[in-house]
Amino acid sequence: MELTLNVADLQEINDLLTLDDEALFSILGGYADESALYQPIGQIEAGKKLFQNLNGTLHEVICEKWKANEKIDNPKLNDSVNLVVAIGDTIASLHLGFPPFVIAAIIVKIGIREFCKCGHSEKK
Amino acid sequence: MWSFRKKITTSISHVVAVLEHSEEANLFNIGVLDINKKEFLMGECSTESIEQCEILNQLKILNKDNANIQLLVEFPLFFEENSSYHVILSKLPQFTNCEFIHGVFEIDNRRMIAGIGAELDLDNQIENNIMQNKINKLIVNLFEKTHRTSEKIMYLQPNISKCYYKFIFDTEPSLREILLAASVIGYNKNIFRFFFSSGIVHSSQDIVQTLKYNFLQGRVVSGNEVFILEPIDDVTDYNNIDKIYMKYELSKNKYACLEENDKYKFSLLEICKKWKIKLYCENVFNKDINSECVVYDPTMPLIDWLIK
Repeated sequence: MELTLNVADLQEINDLLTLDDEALFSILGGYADESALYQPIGQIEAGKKLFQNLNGTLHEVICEKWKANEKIDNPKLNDSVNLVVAIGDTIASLHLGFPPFVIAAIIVKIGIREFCKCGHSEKK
Repeated sequence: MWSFRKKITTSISHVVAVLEHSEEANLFNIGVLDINKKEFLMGECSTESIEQCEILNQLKILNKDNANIQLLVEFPLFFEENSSYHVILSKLPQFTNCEFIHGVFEIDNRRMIAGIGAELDLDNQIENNIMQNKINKLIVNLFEKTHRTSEKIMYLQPNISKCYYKFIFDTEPSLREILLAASVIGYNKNIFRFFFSSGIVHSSQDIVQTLKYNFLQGRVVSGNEVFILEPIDDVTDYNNIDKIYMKYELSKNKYACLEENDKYKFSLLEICKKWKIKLYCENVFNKDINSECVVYDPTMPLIDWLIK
């Protein structure tokens, strides 16, 4: 499945990349559990926990099936926006019910190599 | 008690806003908003020659004519005992008839001064509680002696006025505009209460839950306040509610110069502005039954409402 992006989507990805890790986890935390209510700090923790819970699935799809280790050398993916789009595209196919670009932005912030633990750690 | 009643029923004639100078520590910028004439003056004062400060001497004359002055200072919560903040706050009463109520505390082996009722933001919770108790006792003692509340001087954390102007007009303000924004906050007690409160306002998830399910009628109780979100029929925008999460975080970046709690307040205001939600802030112990305690009302042009 390939995402169709418009200008607003690209702006959103650019905006996501201006945020720090905690802000991204906070956005994800908003989707964590609709039956619970969080303080702003609690929402960050909920986002971290949700990401942790998805870690196995994401690792399998992004690192093993999509072969991030090989894809990352594509010069086109040197651009963080393109990388978020590519990873978001892969995540969208999972139909997780959480915003794929937010998850992708978190992974890019962590560093794709670090996330996949394939070789040296790299912060994008 | 008579003087206390009188204070409540007498309307404010002037708001004086005092902000530290951005570059020189002994200089302060002062704005005076004449509510009746709708005039605004500004000036600069040095703590080394405060008696010669022209704008403060004008206030002295107004004071003799029984002007009812509301003073708002935008200072850090704690400052050194011998700092210029202390100098100006100690000398302001002779010009404005507004009493400076403060406490001296030991922090990290230094004597520091804290404004009464100001938010305490210490890492150590026990220390925080001890300080709060000391300040509360001081308020009670001073109130018993003077029959005055500390409301004559309003304290705000630095940069609140600047950010409030940015929130209203979406542009970087000049010094004059910052002082004007500070004066407006000093005049509108509901807005002041919101910015002064120590409570943590709604998270982005709280806001989304309110719009989707009207969960807990949009109420969050934190600190001494109840913060209430009220969606309005045919006004509130229910589209793109999921974008609230991101807008909230981006707004925090927009107001990066503030303390964390204040960033949340401005994020909440930005959401209320964009999605057109009414916002209230009520003090749980001191609810003014004659006031709606509205902090933001999307049905009214912001500026008209601020100065009404």
